[in-house]
Amino acid sequence: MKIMKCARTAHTPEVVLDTEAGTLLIEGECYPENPATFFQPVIGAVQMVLASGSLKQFHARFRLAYVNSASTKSMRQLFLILNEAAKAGCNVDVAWEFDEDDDAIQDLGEDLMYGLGIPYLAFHETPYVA
Amino acid sequence: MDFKAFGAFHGGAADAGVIFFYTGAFDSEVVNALSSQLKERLEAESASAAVKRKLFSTFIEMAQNVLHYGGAPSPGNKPGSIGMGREGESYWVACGNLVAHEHVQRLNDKLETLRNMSLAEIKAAYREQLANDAHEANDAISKGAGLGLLTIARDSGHPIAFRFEADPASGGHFSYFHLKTVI
Repeated sequence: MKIMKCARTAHTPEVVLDTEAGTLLIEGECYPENPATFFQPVIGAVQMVLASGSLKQFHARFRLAYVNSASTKSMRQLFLILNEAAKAGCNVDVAWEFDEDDDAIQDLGEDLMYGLGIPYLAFHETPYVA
Repeated sequence: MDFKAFGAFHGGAADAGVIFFYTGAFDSEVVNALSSQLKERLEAESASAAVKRKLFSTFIEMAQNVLHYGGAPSPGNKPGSIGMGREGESYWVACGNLVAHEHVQRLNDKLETLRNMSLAEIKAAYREQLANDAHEANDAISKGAGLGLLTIARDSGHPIAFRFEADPASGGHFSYFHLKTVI
């Protein structure tokens, strides 16, 4: 598998994972009723490619306009996996893009980083103008 | 329903500033349809983007709360209500669902604590809950780790308001629970 894609829906973001280039994009709104069902395949695929150790670097880009509270636990799982890979030596870079007027998404990025304890991944806040 | 009752219902809704209201069974399809509808209604409002985001977020958290935690007097029948409206310069969002008697005290205490927390305390609690992996396993009744109520409280301009009321219609096992925020 090289590229995994989930098209954007009314309640879930677009996801594009390129396992060869080592890039992940999650963009859109995220409020599925059962976040675990939506995130499990994504988290599984990311975990698999990072655990294989084949990547020297990994770039994750999040551009979310809205995330429901139930989905934030799955986001945390994803962040933990990214941080583990960084700890193991992969050069992991996270771009956290948010509408500059949206405190909630900015806070979420910071809350997710807080939950990592020691951050090994590189985290960049990137505000944009909607 | 005669026309008089219908007129009274309509007048009452107008007096309460209702923009959007649903009452009836809750399932995933209903919640999906409600969230799409609400999104359209919000586009027509002149409020700031930040206020609209808070209204949408509060609505989703409330609707998903009713869906996940609302009491069902019989299988497949989960009654609830949710609405949004104007109140002066602000908006209200409110929901209602059944809660089994044995959970009322616990929920009441949780909400009472939340009512007395400052915004900074709410944000700090959210951060701790999100970082706490054990919580979900230890608290089977509140999966989602209480993040939903914290999110609702965070976006509310005033302390959240709530009440419990006996609901004899649901077989004597439930109370009706109402929650309201002002944004």
